Amino acid sequence: MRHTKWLLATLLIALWLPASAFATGVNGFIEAGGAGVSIKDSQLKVNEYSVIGEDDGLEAYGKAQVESHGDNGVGFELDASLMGNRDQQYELGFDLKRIFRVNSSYQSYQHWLDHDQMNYLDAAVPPPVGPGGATVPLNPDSIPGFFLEGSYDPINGTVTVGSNTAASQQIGRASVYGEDLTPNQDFSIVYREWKNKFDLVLPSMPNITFHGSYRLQEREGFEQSIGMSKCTSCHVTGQSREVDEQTKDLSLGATGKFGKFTANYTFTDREFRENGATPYRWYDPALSPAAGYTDVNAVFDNRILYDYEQPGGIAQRAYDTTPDSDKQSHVLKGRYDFTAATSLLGSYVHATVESDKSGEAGVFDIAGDSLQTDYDGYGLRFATKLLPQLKLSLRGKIEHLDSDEVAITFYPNGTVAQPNLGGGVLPASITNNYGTIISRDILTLGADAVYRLGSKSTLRLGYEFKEVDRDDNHYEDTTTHQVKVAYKTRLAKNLNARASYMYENTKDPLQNTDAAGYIDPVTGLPYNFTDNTDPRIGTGLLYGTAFYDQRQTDLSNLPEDTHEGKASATWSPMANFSATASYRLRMDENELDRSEWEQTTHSPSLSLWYAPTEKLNLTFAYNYLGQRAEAKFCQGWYDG
Amino acid sequence: MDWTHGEHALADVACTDCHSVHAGGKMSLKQQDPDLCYSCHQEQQAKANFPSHHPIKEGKMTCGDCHNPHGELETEELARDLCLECHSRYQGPFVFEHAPVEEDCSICHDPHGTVSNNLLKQTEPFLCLQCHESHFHTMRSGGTTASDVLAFDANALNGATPAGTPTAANGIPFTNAHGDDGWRQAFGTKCTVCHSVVHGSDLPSQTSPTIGNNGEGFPDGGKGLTR
Repeated sequence: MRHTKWLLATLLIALWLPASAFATGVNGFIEAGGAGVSIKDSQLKVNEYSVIGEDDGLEAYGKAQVESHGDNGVGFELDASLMGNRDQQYELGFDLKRIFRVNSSYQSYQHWLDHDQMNYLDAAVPPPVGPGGATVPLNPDSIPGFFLEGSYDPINGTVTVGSNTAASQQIGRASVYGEDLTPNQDFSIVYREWKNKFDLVLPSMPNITFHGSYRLQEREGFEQSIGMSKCTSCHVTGQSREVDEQTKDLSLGATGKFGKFTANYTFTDREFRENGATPYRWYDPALSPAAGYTDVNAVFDNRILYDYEQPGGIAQRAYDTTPDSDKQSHVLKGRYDFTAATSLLGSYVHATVESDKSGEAGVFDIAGDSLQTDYDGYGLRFATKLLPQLKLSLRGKIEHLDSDEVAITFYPNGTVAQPNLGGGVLPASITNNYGTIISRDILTLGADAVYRLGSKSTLRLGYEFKEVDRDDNHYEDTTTHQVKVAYKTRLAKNLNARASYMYENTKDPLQNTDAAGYIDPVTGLPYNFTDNTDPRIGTGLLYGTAFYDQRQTDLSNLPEDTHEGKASATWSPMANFSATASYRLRMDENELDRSEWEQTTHSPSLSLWYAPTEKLNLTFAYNYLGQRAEAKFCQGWYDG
Repeated sequence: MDWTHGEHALADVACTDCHSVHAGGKMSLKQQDPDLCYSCHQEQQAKANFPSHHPIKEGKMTCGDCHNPHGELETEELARDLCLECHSRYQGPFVFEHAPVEEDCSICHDPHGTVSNNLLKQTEPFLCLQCHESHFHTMRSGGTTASDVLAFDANALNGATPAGTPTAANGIPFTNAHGDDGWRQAFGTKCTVCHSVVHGSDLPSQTSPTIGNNGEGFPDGGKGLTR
């Protein structure tokens, strides 16, 4: 698509010649100049979207706009902006007597991305502490991750392993460490989008408009790709990852008006492809307690699915992949106007998204070779005027989402005994069925009434009910009630004001149930390592099975109750000046099971607009956003 | 086709609030998008100037790319489908999902602009901690003893004889600059360093699902969204 600008230029000339022959008047402007930006540090911080110039220093730019709307019904418009090789915008519109209208646009720009140096990833296991002056035996119980057993002198800091010297031993060895493999690389994505759409009205069928569009979006460049090997040690690396994404949208449809009935149908086909090279990384050897932490080829507690040389001798593995996908959607809408003020609108949407999947030899298998999600939406809206001054709007929508569950068979890396799981040996394969949160039913019902109070004021009352019935019980079902009241009035000739209040109550918003916190059933106290009241707590070494499986506290960042009030006033003493002041207050809270939080948001703003001439607009605006959140739930974190 | 039910209609916004029959601009608008929208939506104007924002003020997007001023959002499906028109890489479906991604992008992101990077409503790790417990490693006190060779990786060990044998020669110098706070910094700074594919993945994490002696074990192994 990088050659699109030349194709567009050719198209422009091709259209310009016949259009200029029809056109009776042409208006336009051409602008050329220079623009510069000084970048001393990071492009991301001062020039994230390269709007002034792509690189440090001064660059030439050019803009042009041409338009013609002749009396003969032929018109065209052209906009062009060239700020640099990667920053371009073109738009072309052509209208042939409203029989055939086409619009084509192209834009590109560069988006600079973050580069994480990962210099916070250093963590080590502390050396053992022994009685004063005595050496301490080194073994997996004292320092996980030692390669060889020996002894450690905490006074002198020396290690003895047989006849080996201390140099090859590891005291407080790294357990987490990060490596930035591309420390000097800048990451950015060049975004290109070409959009085309047309409307065609055949003179023999003037009540039907055929329409279509084609959109091609590309994202090309490099981004940072971070991956980690787990246990032991946790090794995080950051490297460069090629991005070459392409999204193609093709839409075709028609809108027909048949008396009081209007119908619209649109079919859209989307193809998404990632053509960039797949990133690969080494998955470090995992040291196994089962082998006394001395054999890097042993398996870490039988819980590793793969590492750097197993299974199958595959040294590197793909990671951070982006799946290709295809989507088709059908949108059908119909509207019947009973009177000028009473109408009924119905809609039906069916969409399917499909993505091919495959397993990995020796690691995992997936039942089936693709996953598919189906969406069906049925909407109905009705609007009328019950009284000359009272408008009523009713709406309802039923949405059904269904996605494939997936059965995955894992092949654990080795079958040595697991001391932390009672010494048992895992089977050669484990098959799990994974449900999907996508599958759910959504019901939305709403009603709004707008009442005109005289000639200067209106009052709006609104109510909405929403219910989300999820197939996956872990996330529970959600029911929401929302009430809105809004008042708009003209306080004086040049002074308008609005005020509104919204209350929303949500039962069980999307939450991670049993996400944290274990309360001992006997003591009523939180878990600690000396708690032995539960045979599975505190007596074993494995924090995970003893604790994670018994968490009881729900967590969510979505509110159960929301109050929001807004007020604004606009003063317009002159046609070229206005001042607007507004204030928004919002209070959210959620009393989750065993945790609760509340958040208050204040947002006042002041905006002044002045247009001394037709070509010059000045805006001064100030906005303050203050937000305070308080969670009555304690999580282990930094000291102090 | 749907003006009657749109928010502007219900808020008693008149055609002449935005359009002027004497205006010469596109669609006879009094001002162009986004300036016209900002005249009422001041808070969105402020957010568009936050450190993390869509390229609206740079002229690469307009409010109308997502919002239909005569109706509602520019989609007939869920709100997330609007996001996926441009961010198609997250369309999935994924083998290993992250629930809020499939529910609503706005659970974690504010598309109008945020102080945090990537349009996140909160910085990491605090955003993640709203729904997930902190990693238990953050409570661990770290070692501080210096050493010349404290780490190794598969790249270094691959050429060793016998294969995979760690020695001083193929190890990686490692300085534990953070001392006691090493674990807290490593596990409490940025969750996505390890859980890097939070929008979903087709590849399992390195941890295998297991079955413990109580029949439970770690059935969710593989779902860590680290690969």
